[in-house]
Amino acid sequence: MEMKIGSKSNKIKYYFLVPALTVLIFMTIVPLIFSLGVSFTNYSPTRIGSWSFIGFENFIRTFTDSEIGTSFINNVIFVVVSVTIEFVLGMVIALLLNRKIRGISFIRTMFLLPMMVTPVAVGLMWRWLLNTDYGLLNYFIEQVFGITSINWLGSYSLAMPSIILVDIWKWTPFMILSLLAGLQSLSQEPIEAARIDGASNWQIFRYVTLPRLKNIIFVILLIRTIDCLTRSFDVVWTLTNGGPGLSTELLSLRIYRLAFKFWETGYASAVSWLYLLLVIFITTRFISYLYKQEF
Amino acid sequence: MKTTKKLLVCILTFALLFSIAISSFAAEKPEELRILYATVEAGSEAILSVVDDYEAETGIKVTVDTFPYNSLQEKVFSELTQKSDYYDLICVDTPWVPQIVQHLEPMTKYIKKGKNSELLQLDDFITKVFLDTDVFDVDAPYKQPPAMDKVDVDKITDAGFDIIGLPIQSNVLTVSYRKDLFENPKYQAEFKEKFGRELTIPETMEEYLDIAKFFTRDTDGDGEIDLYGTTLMAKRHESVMCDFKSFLSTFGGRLFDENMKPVLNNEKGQQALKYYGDWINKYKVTPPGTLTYSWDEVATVYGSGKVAMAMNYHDMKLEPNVNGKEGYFMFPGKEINGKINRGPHFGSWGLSISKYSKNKDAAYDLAVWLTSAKNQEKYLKYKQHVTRQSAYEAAKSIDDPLTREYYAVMGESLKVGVGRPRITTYNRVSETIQIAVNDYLVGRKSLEEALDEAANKIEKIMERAGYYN
Repeated sequence: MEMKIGSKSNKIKYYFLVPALTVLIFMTIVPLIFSLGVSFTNYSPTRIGSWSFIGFENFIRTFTDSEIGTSFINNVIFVVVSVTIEFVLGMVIALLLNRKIRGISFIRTMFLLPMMVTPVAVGLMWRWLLNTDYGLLNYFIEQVFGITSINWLGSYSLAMPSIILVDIWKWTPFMILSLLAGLQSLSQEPIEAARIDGASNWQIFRYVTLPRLKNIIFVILLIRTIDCLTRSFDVVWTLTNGGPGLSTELLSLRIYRLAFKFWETGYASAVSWLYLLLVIFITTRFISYLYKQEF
Repeated sequence: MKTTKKLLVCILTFALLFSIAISSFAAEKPEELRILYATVEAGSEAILSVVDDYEAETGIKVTVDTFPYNSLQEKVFSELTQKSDYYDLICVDTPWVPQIVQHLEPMTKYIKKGKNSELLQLDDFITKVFLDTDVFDVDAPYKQPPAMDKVDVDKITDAGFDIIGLPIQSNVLTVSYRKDLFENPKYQAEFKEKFGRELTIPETMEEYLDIAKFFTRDTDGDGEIDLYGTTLMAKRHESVMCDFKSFLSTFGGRLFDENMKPVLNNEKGQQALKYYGDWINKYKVTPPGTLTYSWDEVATVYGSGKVAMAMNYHDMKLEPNVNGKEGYFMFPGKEINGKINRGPHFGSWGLSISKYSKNKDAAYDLAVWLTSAKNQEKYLKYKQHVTRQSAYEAAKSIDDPLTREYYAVMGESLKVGVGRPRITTYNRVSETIQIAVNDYLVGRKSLEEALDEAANKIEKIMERAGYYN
């Protein structure tokens, strides 16, 4: 008798999964399969009834497309530079804040602000701050250093550093807060023990604090890397629109343009799939590499 | 009991079907019509000012949803490709037409029925604007319509073309300038001494450049230039494409030849791009941030009084604190074989019926009404860029001399304006040119390199789109 009741309730629990699974299938799995199918065609929604299967042509084209190549290189530079600087800065500030300071909760809230601003608003705000002729930044630089009219967003050499700067402004707080939370959760005993043994501050940080922060460091680097690879769109879109030329074109912008400006849905799907595979590859390699590292 | 239930279900089903049938019959005269419209680019203020009149006249409520340019384009494309029946009328920018023409309801058959002909008055539309905006061969949208002096429906249909909308707004490149500086006796005397001629409105590019060089100066004597001659819109944006195209047409060049092969890299293309680049890099008559300017930034810079002349697609105003005086003139030309050749970019907006609208007849009536002569006269109050000759006539008696001047300049510019190529790959081609011009301006590529590469890329884009089959 008990068995019977048990098996019945076992079945029931699957029924409860049905709504969630239905949503998941229709919102995620179906579009994913659709885009995979479409990537083998020359489908474009603006042309009615004229599309055909073209095999791997879209995928091959991706490797010969110089704009995709440039965007990819830009993306790599963007990710590596901004995540590294954000991490280092975040760590330094988190260590500075990790002590008994009056008004720490106020400071923490202030640090949260850039993260809470909508990305498009961040882009627009910085577009005016960095404006060559009226920008506040150029005004101060002129007052202090006497250098005039720095073309932040309009020159090849400065456009990429400028968008990296904005990304750092927006996302360093995330690093600070996560690392600070990590630091504050550490027990003090090993640090005190090290101090009694005569370790210097640097040695304490390097050999006691850092290894115990490993997990949190690993998680935030992973989150920021994936974010930077796939979701850095709005700020760049509003700041430079990928320009001048292709100097700040990231892959996310490129794919968006292919899909919703040029309406080459088939090709855009192929590029997205290759990109997805690449991101999966990078992140899994990253995970296994980091896990193997001895701190 | 069961029979009662069955009966009840039957009655309810019948009632439901009946009400659906009634409502579809009633669709002859809908309660509401919806328009998808551009916020600034096609002057939504003017349209919004009259839609209440339409409700009063006909009892049909008109809802206008407006979007800024980039979002509008996505919205229009996604509404149409999803075959949504939500919007009845859609505001369409000319470069989009080749891609979406199959989703628009041709208006020719409604026009031929003679519906609303007294409001329609096709021959009152500026012919060039009408043909460029709304006359297309639906099966071969790259084809140019036959030439005609007045809009002639039969001639259009005989040549295999259709009317796919009615023009509601026409944008053309014009120059706004600081009249107060041009009229300043000190500057006039100085200019005459330097160039041996009067400081007047420039007719040619060379004269324009002279004036731009003349006004690029340090006015307050602090050793830094604070007034620039002119603006350009060189950001990687549609604006730089239109800028380059205006220079190219003025120099007598074209983007494509008859076989749709790109020819922008020929001698004329090189001359045009070199001239464009020289203004920024050699003569430095534009503000330092020119490479980040599109139409919005140009309006701000001109408004601040920092430039003597500025080009844009609407009349620009000076901020009150500048204490200046505005004026307008046509985009300069170039003397070719003793004649001044002009080629300001022009692009216009049409109102088209969505193929998926359930109220096509009513939508047609509304489109005719919105673009009618009597309404276009009302739009003048909002400085709408009207599309009828009668409206430009009416503009001659506007009280404000400045608005009058702008309409006169715009009307003349429209007559010589050059539209965009009619290709399904326009956005790609435009992007390629934007990048090439940017690459040249920042010195990453030489003149020939930038243009040749662009031409090669465009040829590939066109080939892939099937233009050479």
